[in-house]
Amino acid sequence: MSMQSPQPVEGSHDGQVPDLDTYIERDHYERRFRPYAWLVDAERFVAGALLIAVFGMIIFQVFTRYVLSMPLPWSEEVARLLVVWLTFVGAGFVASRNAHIAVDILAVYLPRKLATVSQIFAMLVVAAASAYMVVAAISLMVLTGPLALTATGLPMPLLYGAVLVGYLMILGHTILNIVMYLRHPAEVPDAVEKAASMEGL
Amino acid sequence: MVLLIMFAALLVLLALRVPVWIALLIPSIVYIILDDTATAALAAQQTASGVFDFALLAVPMFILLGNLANVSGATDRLFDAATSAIGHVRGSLGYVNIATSFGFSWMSGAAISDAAAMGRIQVPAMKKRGYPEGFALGITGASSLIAPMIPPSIPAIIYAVTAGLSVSSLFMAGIVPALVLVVALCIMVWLQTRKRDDLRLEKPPTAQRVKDVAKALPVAGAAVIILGGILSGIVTPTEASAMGVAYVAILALCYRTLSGKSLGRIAASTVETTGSVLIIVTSASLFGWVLAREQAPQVMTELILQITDRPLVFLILINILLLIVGAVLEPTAAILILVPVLAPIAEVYGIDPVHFAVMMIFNLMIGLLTPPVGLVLFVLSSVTKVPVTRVIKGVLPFFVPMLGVLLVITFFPLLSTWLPGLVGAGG
Amino acid sequence: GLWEPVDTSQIEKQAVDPDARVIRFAHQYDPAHPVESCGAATLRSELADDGFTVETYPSGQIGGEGETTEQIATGGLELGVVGPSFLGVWYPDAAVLDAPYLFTDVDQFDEATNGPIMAEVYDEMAEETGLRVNSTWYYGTRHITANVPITEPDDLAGLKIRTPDAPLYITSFAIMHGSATPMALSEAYLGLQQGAIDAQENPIPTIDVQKFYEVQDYLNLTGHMVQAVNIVSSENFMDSLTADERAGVEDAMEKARVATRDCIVEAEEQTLQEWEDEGTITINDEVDVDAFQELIADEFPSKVPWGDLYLEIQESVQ
Ligand code: NA
Ligand code: NA
Repeated sequence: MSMQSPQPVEGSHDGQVPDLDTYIERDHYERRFRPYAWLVDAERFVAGALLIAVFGMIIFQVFTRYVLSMPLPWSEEVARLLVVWLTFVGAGFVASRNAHIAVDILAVYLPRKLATVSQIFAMLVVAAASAYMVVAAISLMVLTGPLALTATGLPMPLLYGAVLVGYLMILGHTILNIVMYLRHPAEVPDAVEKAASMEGL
Repeated sequence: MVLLIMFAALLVLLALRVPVWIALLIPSIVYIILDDTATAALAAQQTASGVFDFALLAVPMFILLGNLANVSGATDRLFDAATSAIGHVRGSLGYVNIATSFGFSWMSGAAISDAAAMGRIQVPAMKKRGYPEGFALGITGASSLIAPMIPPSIPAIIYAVTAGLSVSSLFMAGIVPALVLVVALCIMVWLQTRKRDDLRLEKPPTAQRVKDVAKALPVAGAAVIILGGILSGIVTPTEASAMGVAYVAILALCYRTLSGKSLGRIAASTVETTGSVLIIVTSASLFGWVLAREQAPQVMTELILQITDRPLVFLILINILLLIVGAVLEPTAAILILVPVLAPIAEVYGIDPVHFAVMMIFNLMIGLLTPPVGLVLFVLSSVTKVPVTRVIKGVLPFFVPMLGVLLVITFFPLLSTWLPGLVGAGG
Repeated sequence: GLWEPVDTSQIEKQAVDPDARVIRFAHQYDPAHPVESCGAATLRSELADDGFTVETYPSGQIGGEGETTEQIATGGLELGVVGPSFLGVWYPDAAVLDAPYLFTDVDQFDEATNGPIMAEVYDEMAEETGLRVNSTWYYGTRHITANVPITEPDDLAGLKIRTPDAPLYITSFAIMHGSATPMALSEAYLGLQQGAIDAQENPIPTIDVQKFYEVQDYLNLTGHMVQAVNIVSSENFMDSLTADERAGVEDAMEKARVATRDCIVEAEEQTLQEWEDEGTITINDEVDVDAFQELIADEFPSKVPWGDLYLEIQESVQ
């Protein structure tokens, strides 16, 4: 490192990564109920595994396509399927952090009480939409029950099942967040703060 | 009428701080409930199929790449090399800021990751050397827009998927406009620091400078893989994204900056960001389906043709519209909703689709720095602990070069279409 | 230039009859494609007299072929253009029309797609899935472009041929001694130019629109697929029509089918003639089609679930 370099600012820097635990930030219910904390960890783990599987599948495709010159039609479809699952499971996990991207036009100017009402309203809307999507996903899975994906022959409901699982997760976490907001308002993380701390984007 | 209500509902929900993805979902669900022929199953179908696309695989991969690049120390090496090479110039840290962003942009697909990484290191460094805080924040924010213009670019992937364009050609198309932005920002730095002779560093010994630059060279390998892979047509952008990840991971292993702990953190952060972005893609896909079903493109085309039949006037009107939209809407959602409506109109006016794409992407990127919903502003405030209002004040003067570049992109289509045409990726 | 006013005369304002019943018609092709400019246009003008307004959704605006089919099945859409492979997802036998060398020319295609065997397949499909094929339109004849002449199967050996992402293509080209590389159509030009793939196969109008002749030396008239697209609705929708309306729809479908076929055949012949006159691309018309056909006849039927149907249709048009 050269002389002029500034001192590293704490946080992300040459391998000086904060502890995973400090990053996770367990919320109220996760601290109180171990099984719930495990569930959230499992969500995170599954989403991480899906991410690695997507990476592995693309590399596998590059290998079969360019090294072996023997492209397999199913590798692409599997990778696309994995991304659908990654999206919905990832979104479900983000819901547990109440960290979905929202827009602050009015909320910052609202008095505290009104802001609370607006926050609860927003979460109720999320819960209602998620409940609808759960029903929608089930009806689509029933409709496409006998169908198969073109390249892999995997059952089509496996694709739409991602919507079901994702929105079930979102619904559950959102209801918990509403309860927490009513009973322990200080515990709910602020969405903007969370969006700002997102990396890679 | 339906269209107006859809957009009004979207805006009201956004104002009530409903998450963007839900604000897109609710009006679509209500539409489906009220329409005789549409059923709930279609809502699930459109959301899932919105992300069941090969080109979108590149999104999580490029997010992962940006995270890996940060943790691997690649960013620091770029910063050291740039400081060592040009630190003795007047206003050097301003140029270093631009140069580091430019280097990082080959591994990062989004402005926010650039702002997060650079804000952390460079704003404190610049303040410490006597640069005004506003200037440091402004140049960091403005130069973060280089990342989504240089390949890889997440907005370009999303645009290409939505408009049915080649991802490769959109990647190529952003390069020259990004260079124009670099030049404009350099001029801005020169203007703002020309009277400050104190803003320069001591020149290190040549051996040291060579060493610092050499240390950053392997980082350029990622750019070679991604750009070279795509440019040569050997791999698709999706495949290049995974190969870039593999390369930077190996680099990080060589630098010994990757631990099990940091890997876990990178994975968790990538998953969070991917989930947040792609879930918006799913509900915007449903929202877009409703717009298409209500024939929004046809209705809008007729409407705009009544206003003007001159392409240039059309482009100016669209730019004004997009600047307003960009100020309140997150760019991914804006692209997903507006491209299916606007791209066919642009075609009617005979505008090159690649040119229109670059213009639209850059315009919406400016929205990342525009209050009230400028994500880059929030990120900069969060990583530097400077209040958002002061960040906004710092960024304000930089709207001059940014809007200037937008005008240049708008009026000179060749800047966008020349490179893709050269490598045959055009059309 | 950007200051020149655009010609808006092309954009006709449609007079909308507020009492007309709306039929939504979705397909994957751009608005200049014969499916829209000849097929949909004929449907629109024919059905206007019967009190229907046909609203078209080109370019996959409301979903890909798979989604289009699902929307028809749920009643969210009245009519859609769906390729045989996508129908095969719902009813496997319907995929037979995407098979290689099922037909050697458009006459055979017309005979079989309007004949009793396919009618039976479509009836059975309607009964089982509720999806009704109203009409089968000619989409084009697929040929291979490459930088070398491809005259016999061994010429394909070692060539990477870009194909759509469907298993049938991989099966077919493996039998024909080639190797299929599935890739998005939008990435194919660059892939060919940069040598990541060596060849591609498409109907002549697609080759023309995608400008593949700029990056390929030979158009080899393999004619390996005389390809169809199906016009699909649901049984529920058809049952909701009165007898007169139903007859009107069926009549319009038949006229649209003929119009689309004539437009596409004309476009194919005209473009080929232009290329020949202007030397745009070397046309190899000495392809040993029999050799390719023989390979397919030997191996293909045993590799698909509807092999017997394939042979039966082929026999019926010989
Ligand atoms: Na910067
Ligand atoms: Na970039």
